[in-house]
Amino acid sequence: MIRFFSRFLFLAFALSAASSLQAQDDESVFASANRDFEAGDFEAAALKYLSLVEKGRVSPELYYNLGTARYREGKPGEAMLWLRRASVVDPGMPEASQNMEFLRERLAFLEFADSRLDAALRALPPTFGKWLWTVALWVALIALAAAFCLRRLHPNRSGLVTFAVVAGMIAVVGTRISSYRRDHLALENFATVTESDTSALTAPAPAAKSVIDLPPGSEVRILQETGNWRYADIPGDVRGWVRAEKLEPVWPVSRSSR
Amino acid sequence: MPRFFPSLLAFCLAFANGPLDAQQSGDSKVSANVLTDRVAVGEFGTLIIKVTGGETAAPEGVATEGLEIVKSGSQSSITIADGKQSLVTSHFYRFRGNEPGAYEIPPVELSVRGESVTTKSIPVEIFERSPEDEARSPTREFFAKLEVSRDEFYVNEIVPFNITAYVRGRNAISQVLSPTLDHESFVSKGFRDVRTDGGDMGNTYYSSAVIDSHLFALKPGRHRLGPGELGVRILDSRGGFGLSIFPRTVTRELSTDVVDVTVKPLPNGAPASFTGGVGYFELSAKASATEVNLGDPVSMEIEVKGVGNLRTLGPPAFSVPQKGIWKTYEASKTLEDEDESDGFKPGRAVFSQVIIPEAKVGEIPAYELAFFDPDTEQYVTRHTEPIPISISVNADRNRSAPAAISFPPNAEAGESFERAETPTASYSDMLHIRTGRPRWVAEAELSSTGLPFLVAQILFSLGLFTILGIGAARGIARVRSARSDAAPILTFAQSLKRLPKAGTTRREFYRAASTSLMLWKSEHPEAPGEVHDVVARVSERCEAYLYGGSEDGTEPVSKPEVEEFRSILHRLPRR
Repeated sequence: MIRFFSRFLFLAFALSAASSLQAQDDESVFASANRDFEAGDFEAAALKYLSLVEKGRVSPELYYNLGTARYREGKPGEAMLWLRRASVVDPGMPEASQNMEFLRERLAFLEFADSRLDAALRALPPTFGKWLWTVALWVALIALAAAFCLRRLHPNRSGLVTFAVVAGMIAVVGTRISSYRRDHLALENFATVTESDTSALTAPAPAAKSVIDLPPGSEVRILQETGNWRYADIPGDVRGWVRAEKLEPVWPVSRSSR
Repeated sequence: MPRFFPSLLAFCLAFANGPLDAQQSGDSKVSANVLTDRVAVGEFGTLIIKVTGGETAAPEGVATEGLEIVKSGSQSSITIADGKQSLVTSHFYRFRGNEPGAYEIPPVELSVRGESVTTKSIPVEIFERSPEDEARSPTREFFAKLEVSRDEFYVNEIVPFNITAYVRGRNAISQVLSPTLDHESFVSKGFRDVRTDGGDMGNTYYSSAVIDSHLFALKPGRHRLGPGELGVRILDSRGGFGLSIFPRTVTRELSTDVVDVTVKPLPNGAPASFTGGVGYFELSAKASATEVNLGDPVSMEIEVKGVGNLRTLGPPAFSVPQKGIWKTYEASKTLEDEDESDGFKPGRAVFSQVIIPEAKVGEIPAYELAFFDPDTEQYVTRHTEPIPISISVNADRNRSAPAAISFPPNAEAGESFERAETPTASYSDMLHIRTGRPRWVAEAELSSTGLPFLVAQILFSLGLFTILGIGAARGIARVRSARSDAAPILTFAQSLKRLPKAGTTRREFYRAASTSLMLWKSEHPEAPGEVHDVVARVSERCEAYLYGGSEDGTEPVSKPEVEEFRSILHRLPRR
């Protein structure tokens, strides 16, 4: 028993040490990228930040700095993309919000305007709907089961049944919230225009007519993927086809992300 | 005709303001320049004599050996500075030579307000154009020419140039359209005034239209200017219903030749107050008030006059830093189009700046402006004179405690205050990167429900299935109980109906009778004592038979015995 316990402790220590060394290594790369940035070598800084992204590191500071470096490189669309990602990881990050406001004034790109409902739902945790409907459904089932299976609760049977019905209705609301969030608010549906000279077209063909110009940094909601084209919902109740290489999903961050 | 308008305007202004000489600046200045000092044989060059500070009569021609110099027009403008008017007149001359060689335009003597002034002599070169240069061949019906006043100059230096369209025939040019001269390394001012002229070239008479402008270079190096483009509307006397009084016009696009120029970089060692000025400038300043309270704003007006790049010139600054003494705000520049310098004519720019005294001092310090003078090829620094000022300390402003007590102002006493505006953020640039340690976040934290969700599902399902299990166990127990009591006797009355008949075994009969009696006893505990005694005796009889062990119980019960028990049981009282 003692032997097993000592082996377990050794393994845990080894894993912890390896993780700590990895974090230190990543922080030194981050610091080196910061020095490149401050020396004015924005391209080298961006490459170092990207190397951390490709390793799967997620950090609001990393995404924020990468966005700032991309802007200094003259790539405002990618700058906006990384600042949005920084805001996903840390929704209260004021630096990212301020720089996004700066880009908003400078680029005049298109963005979805949140309704009050959208804003309220965005303020909730992403898994709120899922938690709500599952917990409410369990509570309804347990109340029903208790009403009919537990003799002591037979006198309260009608109250328990009423409670179960209310819980069932809450579960329905939870499923609606969950599906609305998945279809309209889920980050996986959104993409940012990273290239200049981008337009939404009437059909997935290069010769199709333009619907609207999409300045770098514009936000679209992907509705359908067809080959190299994406059918997108565009702010202003407009829809059109956009070349896939002009877009980059906001989340999840691809490890081969630009 | 258009060339007479400026003169007419100048004359009218001068007349309207009274005798010009009475108010104008006392400085008279005369200068002479040529637009280009290399002119091909038979072609025209341009000489400009500029007179500042008074009216003068310029000669109609200048006699020079080997050169023909004839006056082609004049242009006047009035500048007003410090309440003084200054008349600037430019006289334009055409010159040409018929033999190649080096010539000199001699000094021209003029009389300005009774004073005799003389221009400097200007060397020019008349050269033979190569035969393959078709662009300016006199055999062509029309062509255009680009002339730049200097082929070597400094970055930001204002350089006059002109584009001239030539069309064969007298009065052949009706209109000049859209002249352009584009180059990424140069900024040229828009073309405005057109001077028309004409003259013999070879044995052919050409009408010409000259469009003056000026440019400055953005970066040093060897550059090729041109070709410039312009359109001309040419009178075609062949059209118009056969009548020459309705001439038809045709539009032709002309391209000029190119001119190679060298743009020199500004030398190193610029003074701290150098703000990009190249030319020659004068500086003056005046204050909006010379008696103020401490903390009151003073509006400064700094005027820069001279020949040079006023459009790109930065504002002058205090010659000595005034931190803690004068608080300064960003200066704004006012430069009207008509006040801009064209390289010959001096211009005027006014910088306005708000300054606030933070200490009690006796004067507004001198402003300083450094610029590069391309003539002397040196940096020159100009200073304004310090302006005496009286600054008083406002007792109310400096008395902090009473000020705090009296705030907000007493409306009944008529006090008022200016409501300050809440400053708003201006997003003029991106914030710097974050240089601290990054916070590493596990990706799974962002969107997945994770382990707590799984644990919750397990706990809820355990609770549900526990309750269901309890219910199921109860149900099973009930079913089993029901199966074990196949024919349960529920009441005494029912037991009487199921009492066996005669012929069944005696044991079975007595057991049923005993059960009936027990049911009666349980259902009638309040019955009279004598009835209970009877029931007890009958029960003892049954039990004695059933549990006495004397009989085997398999013999059939007789009918009288059955009737006896039935009669007893039926007589028992019931509720």
